[in-house]
Parts: sequence; C-alpha cells; structure tokens
Amino acid sequence: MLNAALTDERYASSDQTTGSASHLESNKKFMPVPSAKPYNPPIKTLIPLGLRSGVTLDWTQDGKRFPEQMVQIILKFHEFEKLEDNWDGYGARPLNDRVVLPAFELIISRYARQYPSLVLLPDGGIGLRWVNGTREVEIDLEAKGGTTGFYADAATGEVFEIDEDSEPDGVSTLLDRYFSH
Amino acid sequence: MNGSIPDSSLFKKQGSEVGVSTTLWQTREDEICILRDRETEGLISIRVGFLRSLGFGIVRTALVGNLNHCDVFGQFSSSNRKAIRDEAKWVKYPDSYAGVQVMLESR
Repeated sequence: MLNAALTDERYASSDQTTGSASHLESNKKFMPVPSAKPYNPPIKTLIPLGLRSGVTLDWTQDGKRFPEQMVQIILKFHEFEKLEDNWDGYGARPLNDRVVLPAFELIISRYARQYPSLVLLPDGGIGLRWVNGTREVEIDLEAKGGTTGFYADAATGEVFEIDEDSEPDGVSTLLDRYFSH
Repeated sequence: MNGSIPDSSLFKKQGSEVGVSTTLWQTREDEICILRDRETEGLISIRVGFLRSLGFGIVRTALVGNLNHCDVFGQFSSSNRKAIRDEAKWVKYPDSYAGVQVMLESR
C-alpha cells in the first residue's frame, strides 16, 4: 500500500517530468477499505453531578450500566456537601469545592479498577482510601492545596509516604505501587 | 470512619492547634467528663507508651472541666498517623459525622 510520503515523492517527481498525470494515476490506488462491521461511534454523555463545584462526568457508554460504585461516590459527595461548618463539633470545615475535581480525576483515572472509599477531612479536603488485603493507599487532598498520603504493605513492612513537599508525581508513585500487584 | 478502623485523619492537627487534643484516662470519671453534652461523639484510646515510641511528647494542659486534658506534640506525618490509627482502639463509635475524642491510657 502506498503511504503519504511515497505519494508525495511520486508527485514531486512527476511534477518535474510529466505533469500531474502520473500523480493522478497513483491516486487510483487509494481504495476505500471495506469494514467488517458498520462503525458505530461511541455515545458520549455529559453527566452533571449536581455538585456546587459544577463538576461533570464525561461518560462513554459501552453497553454496560453506569457503575453503581460511581453512583455511591457521587452520593457521598452530596452527603459531604450538606455538612456545615463545625460538622464534627471541633471546628471542621465544610467540603472545599476546589478538591472535588482533583478527587474525581483520581477516582476515574487509570486507577479506576478499584473505587476508593472517601473521607471528609477536618479542613474540608477529601481523603481517598484504597485497601486490598495487606496493601493500602491513603491520599489526602488538603483544602489548602497540598497532598499527603502513604502506601503501605503490612505483609512486607513496606511504607512509602508523600508529604506536601514531595514531588508532584508523588501521588502517581503511591498508586502505581498499589496497583502494580 | 473506614470500617472498624479509625481514620488517620482523626490524628491531624486542626487549624492553629499546636498539638492534638487528648485526655489522660485515669478513671471512669474522665470518660464521663469528656462526653458530657457530647453524647453523639466517639471515643478512641491509645497508649501513652506507644505515642512516646513514635517520638511524640505529651504535655498536660488542664482545662476548666477537664483537668486531665493533654496535648500531644510531634510529627503527625502520614506514616505516623497510620501507625497511631493501627494501634488505636474504639471505646465508643460516634454517630455519623460527630467528632471523636482521643483518650490516653498510661498502661
């Protein structure tokens, strides 16, 4: 099959010698490729979550139902949103809308093989918790903007933690360790 | 809460706090004292010796109505909070999102 570079080469050489005739001749070799099945483009749906932060989910329908665990996560965010200032009696802050988008980005990232449990942090941030047997990851998206967390494996004693001064890819490092098993 | 394990976020310093607020658990009176008018709140206990083994310092900071009040000072890093969480024991579960008090056991 001809590729574009080859066609250009033919065109260039034919242009200099015999005009466009040979180029037009080569075009005849580009035939439509018959498809085995008719192509149905995936249906994308923009799902507004009804949260103050205005976050929406872009869902590509794959013939399966919308994941029930994701429904539960969205409901959890609604529950968090209802909590007012001092919700724990010790000055805890309400959910900070700035952490909602980063939280969903982590939940539906390449790590979506397992949904985390969620915790509202006293400063209004969100804590994401993944646990699988002896291994676990905690990531706290602080309301003031920092991220802290750790990966731990009780079987091997391995503990790896990130704090607010860690490299920006620290979160990926934690999750890579957790999901690499 | 994360299942039956206290969440590590319970051991975060809040706002301008210099230490984490706790109460030394010497008698049953201490338990009654800190849950007075806070019936929905939870209680967890942690051993003083364990906190010290992590390098934490414990200072008595008596309050009106809670003479055994203490502040715990030290590095509340993610891994230290995990260690405390793993060691802590529930004495009483909180209702929903109510706060949780930390009691120190001296044994």
